[in-house]
Amino acid sequence: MFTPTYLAQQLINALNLGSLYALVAIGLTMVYGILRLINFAHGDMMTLGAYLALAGISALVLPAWAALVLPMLVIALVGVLIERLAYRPLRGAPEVAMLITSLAVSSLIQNGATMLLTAQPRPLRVPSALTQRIAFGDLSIAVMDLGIIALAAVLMVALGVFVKRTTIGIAMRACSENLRAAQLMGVDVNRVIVVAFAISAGLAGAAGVLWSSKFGLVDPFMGFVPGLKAFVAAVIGGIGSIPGAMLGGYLLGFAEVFFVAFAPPELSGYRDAFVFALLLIVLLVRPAGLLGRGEVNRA
Amino acid sequence: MNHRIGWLIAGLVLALAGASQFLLNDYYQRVLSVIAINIILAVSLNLTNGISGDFSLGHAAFMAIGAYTSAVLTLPVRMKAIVLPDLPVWLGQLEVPFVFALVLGALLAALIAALVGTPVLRLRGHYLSVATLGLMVIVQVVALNWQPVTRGARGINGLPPFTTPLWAYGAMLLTVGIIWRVVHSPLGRAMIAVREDELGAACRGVRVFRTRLAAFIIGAAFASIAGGLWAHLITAITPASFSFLLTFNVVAMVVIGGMGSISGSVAGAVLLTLLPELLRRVETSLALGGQPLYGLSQVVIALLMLGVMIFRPGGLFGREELPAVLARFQRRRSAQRQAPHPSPSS
Amino acid sequence: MLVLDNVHTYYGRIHALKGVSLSVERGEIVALIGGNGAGKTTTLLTISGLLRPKQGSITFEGQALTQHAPHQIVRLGVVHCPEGRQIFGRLSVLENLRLAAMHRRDGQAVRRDLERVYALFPVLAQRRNQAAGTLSGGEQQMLAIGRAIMSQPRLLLLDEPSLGLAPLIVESIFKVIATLRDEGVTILLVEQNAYQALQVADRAYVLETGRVILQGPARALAEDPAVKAAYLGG
Ligand SMILES: Nc1ncnc2c1ncn2[C@@H]1O[C@H](COP(=O)(O)OP(=O)(O)OP(=O)(O)O)[C@@H](O)[C@H]1O
Ligand SMILES: [Mg+2]
Repeated sequence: MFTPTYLAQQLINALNLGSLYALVAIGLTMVYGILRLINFAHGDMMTLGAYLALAGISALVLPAWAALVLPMLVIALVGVLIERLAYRPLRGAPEVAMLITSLAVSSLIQNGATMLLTAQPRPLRVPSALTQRIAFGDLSIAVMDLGIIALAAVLMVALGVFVKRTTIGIAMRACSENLRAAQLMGVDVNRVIVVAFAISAGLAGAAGVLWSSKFGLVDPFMGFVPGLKAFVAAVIGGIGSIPGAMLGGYLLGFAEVFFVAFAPPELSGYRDAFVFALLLIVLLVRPAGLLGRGEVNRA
Repeated sequence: MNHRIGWLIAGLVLALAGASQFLLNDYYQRVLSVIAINIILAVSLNLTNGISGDFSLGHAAFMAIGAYTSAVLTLPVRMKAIVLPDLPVWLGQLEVPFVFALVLGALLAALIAALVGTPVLRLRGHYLSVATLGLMVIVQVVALNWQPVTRGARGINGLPPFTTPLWAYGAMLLTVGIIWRVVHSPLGRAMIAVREDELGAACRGVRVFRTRLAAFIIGAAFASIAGGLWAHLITAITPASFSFLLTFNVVAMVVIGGMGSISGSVAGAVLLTLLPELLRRVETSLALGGQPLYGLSQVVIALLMLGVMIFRPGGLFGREELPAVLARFQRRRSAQRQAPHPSPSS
Repeated sequence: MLVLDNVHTYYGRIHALKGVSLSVERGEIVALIGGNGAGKTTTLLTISGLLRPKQGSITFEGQALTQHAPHQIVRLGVVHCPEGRQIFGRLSVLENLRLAAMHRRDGQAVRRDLERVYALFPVLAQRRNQAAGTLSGGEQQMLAIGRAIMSQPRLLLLDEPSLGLAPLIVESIFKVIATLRDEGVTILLVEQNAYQALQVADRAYVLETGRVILQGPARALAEDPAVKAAYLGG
C-alpha cells in the first residue's frame, strides 16, 4: 500500500499544505514579534483574499496571475487599515486589549461577510490549465500543486531578502527584539508596524487565494481554522521568528498529511484534533519552539 | 455586599423565576432561562479573564463537555436503545438524575481544564487563549467523530427538557454566590495579586501557577454546568452548537460588562442576551435585497466591543461591583446638586 | 541648547521626577550624578520622549521636545545611548550601526561616520558581521556608543557608559567621550562613577529622589564635602 508513488504523492500534499501554513504563520509571527499581539483576525485575511479572487475570476474575468496579485495588494491595504483603526488607538494599553480587539475584528469580518454574502460556500473555479495533471512516471501532479509550492517558495525567499537586506527589514528585526531601544535609534515604530501589517496581511491574502483555488470553495469562516493552525505552526517554529514560522509551517503540513496517510482510516477524522494536541505537547515540552528565543519563561 | 441583602435578592429572584413558569409563555420562559445560563457563563469566564488575568477562550469547549455528558447520562434507557444504540453497554444502561449529570460534567470539565492548563499556565503571555481555542476544535472534532456516543454531526436530540427558569436561576444564584465567595477569599485575593503583579505576588509567597490554574479550573466547571443546562433547555445538541461564536459572545459579555467585575458580567450577560433577541426581528424583517440580514446582531456586538475597547476599556463597571458603582454615581449627583447655582441677582 | 524646566514624570502613580530643572549649553559636558533610583535614567528617558512629563517643559534649541515622537527627537540631533547598552543581540554589528543611521539621507556622511566609528573602535570593524549578542560587555558598550555616533548626535545623552566594565575599558570609553566633545558634540552624561564623571565634565547636577539638590562647576562639586561623602567615597 505504501508504494513509492503513494509516498511521493503524500510528500507533494504535505509540501502544499505546509507552504500555505507557512505563508499564514509568517504574518502571525511578524506581528507578534513586534506588538506581542496574537492576531486572531489573521485567518480572516485569507477569507477576504479568497472572496476577492472569487470576484476577480468570476465577475471581472481576470487572468489567473491578476486574480492572485490584486487580492494580495488589496488585503495588504486592508491590513494597514485595520491597524490604523483598531489597533493603533490601543498602543500603550495592556496587551490583552489588542487581543480582544483582534477577536472583535475577526467576528466582524466573519459575520459581516455572512450578512452581505450569506454563509453559503461558493465554488471557485480556477482556469483549467491549472487543474491539469502532469505525469512523472506513476505519479501525477496537478499544475496548481506545483504552482502553490513554487509560489510560496518565491514569496518566502523574497521576504527573506527583504528582512535581511533592506533597512526597514533590519528595523523590523530590531523592533521585534527591543521596541524601546529601536525608538531610541530613531526608528519610526509606526512605520515599521504598518509595513509588518501590510506584509502579514498580503501574505495571508495570497494564502487565501491559493487555499480556495486548491479546495475550490469560499465561505465566511474558511480562514478561521487555518489561521489557528498557522499559530500552531508559529509556536512550533518559535513565535517571533520568521524562519521559525516557515519551518513550523512545513513541519505542521507534514505532520498533518502523514497523520492522515498513515494513521488507521477511522482516525483520519481526528486530524484537526491531532494538530491542536500537537500544540499542547509543544507547549509542554518546548514552549520556545524550535528556533525560538525562550522568552516565554516559565512563571 | 451585605449578606442579608444578598439572601433577600436571591430569594426574590427564585420566587420570580418560579412564578414565571406559571405566568409567561414558553418563549419568554426560554429567554429568561437563557439569560440565567449566560450569566453563569459570563461570571465563570470572568474568573480567569477578569480576576486572575489569563485570557481563556475555552468556554464553548467546556460547555460542550457539560452538554454531551449530561445528554448521554440523563437520556432515558429506552431512548438510548434507539438514539445511541452503539453506546458502551454500561453507559447504555445508565440513567442518572439531572443534578448528578451536571456535577459529573463539571468534574470532567475540571479534569480537562487541569490537563490543558498545566502546560499552558506555566507560560507567560497569551498562550492560554490559543490553547483553549485549540481545545474547542479538539472537542468539536471528537464530538463529530465519536459516533457511538455523540452521534456525530447529527447530534443528539429529544433530550428531556429539564431546564426550567427555576433550575436555571437556582444554578445561576449558586454560581454567582460561589464565585463571589471565591473572589473574596484568600484564593481570590491571590488571583487579583497575580493579575496585578505576578512577580510581586510570587515574592509575597503566592503560588502563581496554582492560583492561575485554580481560576481556570473553577471557571471551566461552571461553564460545563451551563452547557448541561443549555442542552436540556434547547433539548438538541450538535457539535456545531459549540463554536467560536459562542465563546466570542461570552467574552463580549465579560468585556462589555467590565473585566474583573462580577456584577459587570451579570449586566453584560443580560444585555447581550436581550440585544440579539431584539435584533433578530430586524435581521429577518429589514431584509437587504430580499435576503434576511443574518449576522447583523453579531456585527453589532463586534462593533460594540471595538467601541468599548477604544473608548471605554473598562466596560460598563470597570473592576468595581455594583454597590460601589452606584455609590460613586450618587456622590457625583449630590456633588452636582450642591454646586452653587449662579443666581440672577449677583 | 537643552533646557528642562520643572519637569515632573510619573510611572503610573510613582512620582519619579519632582520638578527637575537643568540646562546644557552647546559644547559642554554636563554630568548628572546621584545614587540608585535618584531619577537619572528617568530624566534621560523623558528627554528622549520614551516617557512623557506630566508637567514642565523640555526645549532643545527653542523646540518643545515634548511634542515630538522619540524617533523625531533623534532626528533633531538628541541621541540617547541607553542604560545597559541595549544593543540588538540578534542583529550583526554592522546592522546595529546601519539601523542607527537609517533616518539619515546623506549616504556619503553616513559612510564617513561608519569609518569614524571603526577608527574609534577597531574591534567593531573586525566583528562587523558577527551577531552583536556574541560581543563581550566592553565591546557591546563600544557598539552602543558607536551606534549613537551613527545617529549623528548634536546632543548625546549617555546613561552609565562605564557600568560593569574593567578599569582599562572605562578609561578608553572616557577618552572617547572627550574626543567626541572635541569634535563638537554636546554631552549629558549620567554616571554612578561620579569621580570619573566629574573629571571629564564642565558642570554637574546632583539628583536625589527626583530633585536636583546641588549644581555647579564640576571641579567645585568634586571638592564639595557633601558630594565627597556621598558619591566619592570619602
Ligand atoms: N518602569 C518603572 N516602573 C515603576 N517605577 C520605576 C520604573 N523605572 C524606574 N522607576 C522608579 O523611578 C525612580 C527613578 O528611577 P531611575 O531608573 O530614573 O533611577 P536612576 O537614577 O537611573 O538609578 P540607577 O542609578 O540605579 O540607574 C526609582 O525609584 C525607580 O524605582
Ligand atoms: Mg539609571
